[in-house]
Formats: sequence, C-alpha cells, structure tokens
Amino acid sequence: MNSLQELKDEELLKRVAQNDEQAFCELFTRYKNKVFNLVYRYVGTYYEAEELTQDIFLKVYNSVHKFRGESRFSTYLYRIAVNVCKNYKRKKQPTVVSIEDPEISTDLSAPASSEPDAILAEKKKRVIIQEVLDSLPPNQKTAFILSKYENYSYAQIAEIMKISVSAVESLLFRAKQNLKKKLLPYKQRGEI
Amino acid sequence: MTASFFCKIVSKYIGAKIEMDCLRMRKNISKYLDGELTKDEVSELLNHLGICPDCNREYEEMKMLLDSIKAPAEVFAPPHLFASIRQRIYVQEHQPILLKLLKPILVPVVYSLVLVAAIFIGNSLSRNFLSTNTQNKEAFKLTLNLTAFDDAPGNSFSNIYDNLMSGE
Repeated sequence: MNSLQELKDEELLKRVAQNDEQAFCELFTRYKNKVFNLVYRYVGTYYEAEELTQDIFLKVYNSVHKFRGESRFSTYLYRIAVNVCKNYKRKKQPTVVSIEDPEISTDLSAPASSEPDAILAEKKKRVIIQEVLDSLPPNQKTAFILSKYENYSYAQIAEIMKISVSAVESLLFRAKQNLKKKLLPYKQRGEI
Repeated sequence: MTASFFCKIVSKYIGAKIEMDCLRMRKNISKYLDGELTKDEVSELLNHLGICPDCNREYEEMKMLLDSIKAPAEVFAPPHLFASIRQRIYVQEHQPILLKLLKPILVPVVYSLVLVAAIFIGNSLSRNFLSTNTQNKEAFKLTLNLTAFDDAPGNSFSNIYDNLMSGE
C-alpha cells in the first residue's frame, strides 16, 4: 500500500470522495500555505485569510465529486480560492487597514530592521499598496496578484481564471497602467 | 510645392506609424517585465526603447514602480486551521437530514416570525403605555380636585383654568 505522501493529488482526491479523512489532511498539508498566502495577499488581513482558507477547503471537500480531472487539482483549487476571494470582496465593505495593525507584514525584500521608524514606514507602504490594489477592478487585481505575487505565467493565470491568454495580457496591461497612475504620486513623494 | 505636400503626407504617415508602434510596445513592456516575450520580441522592444524616449521613460517608470511592489512576506497557515475545518465538516455532516432540506425554507420563516413578534410586542407596549398615560391624567385631575371648578362662572379665572386642565 502506498503511503499518502507518495500519491498524486488526483489519487488523493479519489480517496477523499470515499470519505478518507487522512487523504484530505494530506491534500490540506500540501496546499495550506500556498492557499493561505494567496488569500492573505488578496484580502490583506490574517484573520480574514484564516476564515476564507477554511471556506475554500470546505468547498473543495464538498465539491470533490464535481472534479472531473480536466485540469490539474492545483489549478482547480486556486480557481476556487480566487472565486471565494472575489465573492468575499464583492459583498464586503472595503477593509480599513491601519498601519498600527500588527498583522501587516512587510516586504520579503525589505532589509530586516529593528528601527521603529523603518518598520512604520514599511507598514505604511504596505497599507498604501493594499489600498491601491483593492481599488482595482476584481479581475485586474486577481491577474496582478497571480502574476506578480504568485509568479504564475500568463498561461497558468488564463487556466485559473478561465479566460484566454490574450485576455490575461490585456488585464495585466490595464492593471499596471492603473497602478502606475495611482502609485506614481506616492512614489514621487517618497512614500513607497 | 509638390515636394512639401509629399513630406507632409510622409511625416503624417510616419507619425501615425510611430504611435501604433508605441502602443504595441507599451503592451510589450508589460509582457517583458513579466518575462513573457520571445527572444525576437525582446530584441525588437530593446531596439525601440533605444530610439523612442517616451517608451523608454514608460519602461523606466513601470520597472521602478513594479520593483517597489514586492510580495508581502510569506505567512504560514495557523496550526489549528485543519481542526477548524474538520469541526465544520463534522457539524455539516451531523446536521439532521430534515433540517438540511428544510433550511432554505426555515430561514425566511424564522425571520418572518421574528418580525411579526416584534410588531406584536411593540403594539402591546404602545397600548399599555397609552392606557397608563390616560390613568395618570385621571389621577392628576383627581389630585387637583378640578371638579371643584365645574360650577365656576364663565370667563372667570377658575373656569379658564378648568377648561385648560380638561383640554377643552
């Protein structure tokens, strides 16, 4: 008998369909951080990311019979994740993220600094970027996050969002133009 | 005369061509920054950036801006997350089947009942308040012994006071 770690996602999924909780746990372990990060980067707060990640995996569990294997499981999972995030943002009032929020993380690339001023400036920058990202139309925001933060290719983004590659190109072009228009004044003032 | 007209036509044509090229190149700048251009497209773009200051400025600004938008630091899913999901699956699976089926109907029914109950309670409270208010008025009238002024002559101060108190 194969150990669960050696099984492919699709094989695990078949087991989940037969109520194998261990298999579901293995799938969760494989993708929890990937999904959690995607959601966190989309909504911007840790506690919302926690709630939505639960919703996403519950949705996967409930719709396991609907998976027909036309795409890879990871694509299917990210598609659910993106749709859950978009629906959540559509229904919800815009989050007011404060720079005093300890949940706001800083850039990976930023040099680790213990200077309070540097930390505050970094958090302020994060808040500005998140607000500007939130102001983008949902599809532009989704495409941008998948491309810039998750490093997906245009073809992968097209598959996740169920649109053509040329539509992804167009979304990303417009997203960047919008970001430039909104962020350039901050950049010129040295705030980001 | 003929030569200058020809030049105008050509410059107009070249101007339009450059604009069209620039629009295509702006889109290619976006793709280039995402690593989505072929080798040939890259060399075409770089040649264009060498001769077009506007597109070159666009490229520099876009690159600088995207460089400043780095991914937030990686976060890790909290350790209790799977337990929370398992708990929700348990609740979902142990919900009585009848309740699951009736849930879409029960929710609006319960909301309607709560609304009706709120209207009923509000109405009763309002009636109770009005009756208490009338009783208080009566008690107030009796306390002041206003009947003593019933026989007061018309236009006298007592008569006016009595009329005011009785609301006439």
